[in-house]
Amino acid sequence: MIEQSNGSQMPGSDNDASREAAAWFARLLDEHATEMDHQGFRAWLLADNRNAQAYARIEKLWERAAFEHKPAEQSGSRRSFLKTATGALVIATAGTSGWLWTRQPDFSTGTGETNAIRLEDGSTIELSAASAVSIDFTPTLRRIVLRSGEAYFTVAPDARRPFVVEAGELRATALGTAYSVSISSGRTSVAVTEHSVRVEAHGQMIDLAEGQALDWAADRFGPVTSSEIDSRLARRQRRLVFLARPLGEIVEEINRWRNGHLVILDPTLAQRPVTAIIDVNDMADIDKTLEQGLPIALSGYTPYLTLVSAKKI
Amino acid sequence: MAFSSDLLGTFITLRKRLLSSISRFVGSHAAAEDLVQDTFLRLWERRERLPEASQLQGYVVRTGRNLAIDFRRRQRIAPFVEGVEHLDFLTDNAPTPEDHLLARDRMRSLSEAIAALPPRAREVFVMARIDGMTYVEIGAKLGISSKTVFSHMVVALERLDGFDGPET
Repeated sequence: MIEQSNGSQMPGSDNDASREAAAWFARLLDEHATEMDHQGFRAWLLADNRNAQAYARIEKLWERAAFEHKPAEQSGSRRSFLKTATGALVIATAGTSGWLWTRQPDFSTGTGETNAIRLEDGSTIELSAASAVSIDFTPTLRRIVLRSGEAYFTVAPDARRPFVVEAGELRATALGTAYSVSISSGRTSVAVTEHSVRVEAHGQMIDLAEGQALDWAADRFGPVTSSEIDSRLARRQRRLVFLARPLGEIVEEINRWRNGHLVILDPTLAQRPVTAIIDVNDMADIDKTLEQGLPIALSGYTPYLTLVSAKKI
Repeated sequence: MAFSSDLLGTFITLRKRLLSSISRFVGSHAAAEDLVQDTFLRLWERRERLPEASQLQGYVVRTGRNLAIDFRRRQRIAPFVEGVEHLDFLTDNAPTPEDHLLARDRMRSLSEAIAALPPRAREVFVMARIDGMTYVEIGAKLGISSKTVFSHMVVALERLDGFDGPET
């Protein structure tokens, strides 16, 4: 498909290199570019030093242009991308305290291990480290029990079979929505980002609408808050402010910003209230900042997992 | 113009959805984590130039998606640029260093250069780069063949090459 100039035989001009680089870039942009295309590409790169330079220019140009704005934002392509993400997103962390199980989980991971599971209905579960789920699908119900750890659920829509995630005492039913559920040491939170979610615990039932969030702690629901995540963080601008919050909660929040995951294995430590103000622009030094400012020590376990323990005095 | 605080809130709201989409798209949770992180950093660097608050969500998603598409494309070509001088930056996933030093007027000149493209070339370029559409999708939308889309793309790239003057 690429028309080769005969520049490989005689010294080409910079214009030739530029035009050819444009053509190669455009060709390889296509996911259907063949092995032969790629090999031809390499031969072209090696034929003249200027070729690689011209190609590098276009790569950089392409990268910059990614941030251009469109005059009128159309939702079409965004929709189709997120369509696959429609569904429930459930994240749970922390312990299995008090849960007795008679059978083994269907899927589990060890420390530092992750696993992605594709379910028969097209939904997916991404299990984080040290996590376990049981799956119970019937013709009328898709039921997932999160036993420990953390998991991402992406739910394929199926109106006839509700998708229910049980985490501790809480049941969160996807009503064709995207939402998140998190469990951390006694507190379970549900935040809805799309449409609505039905949350049930101890016979109480609350429907959450888009932008709403709810806590369940000490056997009761807290108040429904609106766009809590949004406004709370918007006010802080570049800073995450925690005033006497449990360390576990802070670590969870930092995990949203930091590469890899910080994990607290000791539940007592996770509950210890601490105060911290964290600049999200300064994540490169976050580990040092944390160790200096908080009574903790960090130890890298894998590139993606860092354990948090109490500082030994 | 959105405030940078809107960006942070929007990003936090979208983060998990983005992560999940990108993770499936690139087939790696670890790579997706990096890409999501990168998405925020890139947008943060451009917080002076964010679109209106009402469009911010779309902008964040689109940026994440485009970074994921770029990641996959670079993975495809990486074996073929191995050891080629000037192209080492394609084989690691870090953003190109120049990107961090982007001056505002340089951004503007790129916008102007895109605006000055021939209409069809501009349309094709914007659909591919900004909307992340494939040639087949663009062709279907514009009622032209993929091969014609490709030709417009070559025109666009060649015109844009060196929009800010020759590199020193």
